Amino acid sequence: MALPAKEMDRVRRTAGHRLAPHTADCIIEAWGPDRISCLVEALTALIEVFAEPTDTPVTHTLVVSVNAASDSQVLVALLEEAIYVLDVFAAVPVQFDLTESEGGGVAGNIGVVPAAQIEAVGPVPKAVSYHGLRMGDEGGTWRCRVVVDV
Amino acid sequence: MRVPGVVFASEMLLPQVAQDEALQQVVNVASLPGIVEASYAMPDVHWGYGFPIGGVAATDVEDRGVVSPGGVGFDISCGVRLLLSPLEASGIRPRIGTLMDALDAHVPRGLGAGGVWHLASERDLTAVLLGGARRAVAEGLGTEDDLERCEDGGAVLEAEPESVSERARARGLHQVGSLGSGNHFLEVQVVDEVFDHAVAAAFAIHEDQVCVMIHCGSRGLGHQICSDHVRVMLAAMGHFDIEVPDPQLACAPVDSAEGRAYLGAMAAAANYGRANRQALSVVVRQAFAEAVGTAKLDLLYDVSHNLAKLEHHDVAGERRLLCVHRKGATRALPPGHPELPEDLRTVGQPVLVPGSMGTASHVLVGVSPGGAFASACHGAGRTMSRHAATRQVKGSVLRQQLEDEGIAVRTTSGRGLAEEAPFAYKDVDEVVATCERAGLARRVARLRPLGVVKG
Repeated sequence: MALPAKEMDRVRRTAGHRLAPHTADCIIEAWGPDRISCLVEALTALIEVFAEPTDTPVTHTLVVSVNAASDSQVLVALLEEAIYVLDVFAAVPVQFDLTESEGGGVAGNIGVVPAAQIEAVGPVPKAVSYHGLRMGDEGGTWRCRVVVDV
Repeated sequence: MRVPGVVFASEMLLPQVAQDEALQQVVNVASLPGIVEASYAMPDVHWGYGFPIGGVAATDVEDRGVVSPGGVGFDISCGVRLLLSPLEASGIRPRIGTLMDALDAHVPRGLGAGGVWHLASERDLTAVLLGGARRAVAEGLGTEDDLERCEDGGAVLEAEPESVSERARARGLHQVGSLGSGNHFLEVQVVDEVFDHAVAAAFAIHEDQVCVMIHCGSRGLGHQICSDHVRVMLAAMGHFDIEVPDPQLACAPVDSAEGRAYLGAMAAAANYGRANRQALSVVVRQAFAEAVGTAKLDLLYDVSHNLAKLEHHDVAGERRLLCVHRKGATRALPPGHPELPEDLRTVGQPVLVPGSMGTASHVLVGVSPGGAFASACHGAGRTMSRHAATRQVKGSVLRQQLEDEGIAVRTTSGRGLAEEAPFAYKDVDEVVATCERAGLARRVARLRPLGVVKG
């Protein structure tokens, strides 16, 4: 049975994410009413692979800008950017202020906290796979699915 | 499919092989250009990305054969080394807590922990990428005897640091000598049972002996190299008229600029992985000296289970140069192979198979003629998702269960521990027995954990 139009609109406007089962690694599924919210949800899920949500104040802000040929490649590039920050700066991205940029890219700021202030609860993501990669507008809701190596 | 798919499995293992996408991935690999003989799956095969984990595929270099970064995996040169002590379990048991505390303090793991080997400059990193474990020993981290027992003498000669990106270098600079997280571990083990006494004697293994197994890889550097070169090959495949059923199988001919660049970067990451395990061995020896009074830990062998190698094999009666991808599979050289250390040449290569916490690990030996281009399994093989494992047990409960079984646990993450629960893996005893029945390798000894260090 189809949802009433008002309820369908509410669902479409809702953003969210989940970690789905994968035998050895981790699948991120995220959704939102527009591309940016879907990307932000995917980034939030990436951090939740290994850390609980935190209210620790942001200590530094990093500028991010990615350009890629497709929506799914923008997703991969953004997640890889977050993994790079984790690995090289030992900093955990916790706030994402992103906007659409020219040529189909995404730009903005990532707020981070030192890794030492975060309690790790799981394995740290290390790479993003193209296996089963999906990102796009599905009936008015932006959805993505990506396998992350841990 | 250009070749058949061949899965080595027993009646007990087969349902687990068929439960996820691993079999489809065996089929997908069989479509790679230049693949010969078969797309093989070891008994521990499970769902990966592109290639299955536990997959072996060889392509004919002189017949448009390709190399695929996905056929090696993100963690290039992830592998295992086994250190043998002169101690017996009965002698160490009263001090196991002290020993585990020392290892806990000495072994960096998890996010932002750094490594035990502090490289002073970019030039030092380049030396690691070129020299691997040999560079570590030259810097005083270990002995020449260690190198004798490393695959390739501790370093692959074909490394090309110039094919390693700045991002990969940045990720690798401060991580040499660190364990990482996920399924990587360091275990203090005891030899529980010897199956082949003659080979065990040649390996200097005996029952009740204490040993240390280290399982880790090339850290962020290797992952970044794989990501970089998958992207390059995805863009280049059109030029070579190559289509693959899964983008993570992106590939290029071995004999192409893209193929050569990947193999050079992969070799650099392989050397990084070997230097990483070599550096960790030094702090393990320090911890033993502090806690139990001896630093004597002789290396039995160090072997990668995520690597592509150019090797000569007979295919349909003809000697061919092949690019053999082992993605979660261990090379298993038979007795008499010229690449074996001299003192092991008549015996065969030690094949190190890490199991799951709380069960067992195994030492096998390569056999003649072997199979799947001289390959064997690399572990127990997951059968349950990380997600499902954490829904079945809490980290704190699992830790207590392991402690109750006499296994001391030092971990930085409760959920990480639960994700690696023994019930999330196949029965490692059945996996290695299947390897033996398939003629891939023969069992030598079973190792039981006394203590586990995890990220």
